[in-house]
Amino acid sequence: MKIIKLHTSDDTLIKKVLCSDVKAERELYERHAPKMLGVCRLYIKDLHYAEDVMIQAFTRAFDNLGKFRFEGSFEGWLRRIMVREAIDFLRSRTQFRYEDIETAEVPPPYIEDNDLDADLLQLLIDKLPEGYRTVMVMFAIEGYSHKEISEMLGISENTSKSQLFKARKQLQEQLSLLKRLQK
Amino acid sequence: MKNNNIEEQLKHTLGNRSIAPSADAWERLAHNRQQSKKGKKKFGFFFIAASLAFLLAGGGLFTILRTDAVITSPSVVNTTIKQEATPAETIVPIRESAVAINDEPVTKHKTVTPAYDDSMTSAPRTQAYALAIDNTAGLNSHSTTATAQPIINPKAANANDMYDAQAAMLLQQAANDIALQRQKVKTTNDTALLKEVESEMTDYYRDKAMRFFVLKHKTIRFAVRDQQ
Repeated sequence: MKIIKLHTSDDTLIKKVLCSDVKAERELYERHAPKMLGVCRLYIKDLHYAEDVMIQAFTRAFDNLGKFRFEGSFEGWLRRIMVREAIDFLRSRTQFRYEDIETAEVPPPYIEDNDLDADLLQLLIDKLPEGYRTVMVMFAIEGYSHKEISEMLGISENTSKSQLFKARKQLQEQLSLLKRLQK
Repeated sequence: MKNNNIEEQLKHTLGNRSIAPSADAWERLAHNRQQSKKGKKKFGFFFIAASLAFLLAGGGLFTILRTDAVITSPSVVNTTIKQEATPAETIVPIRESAVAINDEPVTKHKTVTPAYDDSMTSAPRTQAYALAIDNTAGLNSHSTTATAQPIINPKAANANDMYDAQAAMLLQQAANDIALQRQKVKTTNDTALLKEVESEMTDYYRDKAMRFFVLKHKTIRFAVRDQQ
């Protein structure tokens, strides 16, 4: 006997959650939790802290589920909450250090090997200072503009640009070091 | 063509990266949810309690203010009534005096009239003169009162006005009585309380003194017995 499990859309699950359906809540969580933990991990080095932040963000998301307008994707909405929660966590734990420098156009670093491991890339990101890393991840991975980054982090656009410049420079240095080590 | 941009590689590789959360993550999330729901319930309870307390306080204040307004209202009534009641009060005795004058013989009227100049006010005086003139014409007392009515005051003769004035006077009297009664009740209560406290105090001290005397009496008696 073959059991066909029908895929329930996010919108249906959300409507059920709004009617206090705990099962739907769990299903929604299990569907999105791994990806959201990956997002939190980008900003926070420690996996345990990242998980704490993810749980906190999920709690906030479920509490404010009524505010979801069913206009965009639920994943995008949830991802935004995760990013905000991660930034709040970093802000509460340590003081961000942003240094303004003369902004110059620095192209993103290039590498010969196109198939770098995800863990290796994560390691490269982790090596960056928190301020650089946050701006780098927001700009390069999440696709936020400098204006959006400056609004979310409470900094100027120039500061955001300078942070990205420094992050790119440091990443380039790390890649060249990696290249030398591989040789 | 090879794309060597590391930022694009980061986006491609790390952007969709999934990490399995720990087994107890869901339990922790469920616990957090319960806590937040409890917090919301608590907040709702406190909000309801606070609003109820506010409503009760508002209601109490409103009733206090309202009772104050009720107490002060008789004084307002008094002032208005007094002004309206004065003509009625002056009219009634004049009519009686006028009738009394008319009962006297006609010949004496000329000698009586100067007496009004000393004792009466200007308005009643004119009315009295009018009556005197009527009497000189040789009319009896009944007819003089009949002719005197329009001269006294046409408005006062109106029965409705009279009733209104009487009702107003009665109301004023009632309000005054109530105010006096309240004052009396308050003072009697205070004095009664004072008396009660005084009596209690005297009882207490009397008992204490009696006990002291009994003790002294016993000690003296024992001392006398020991001596014997």
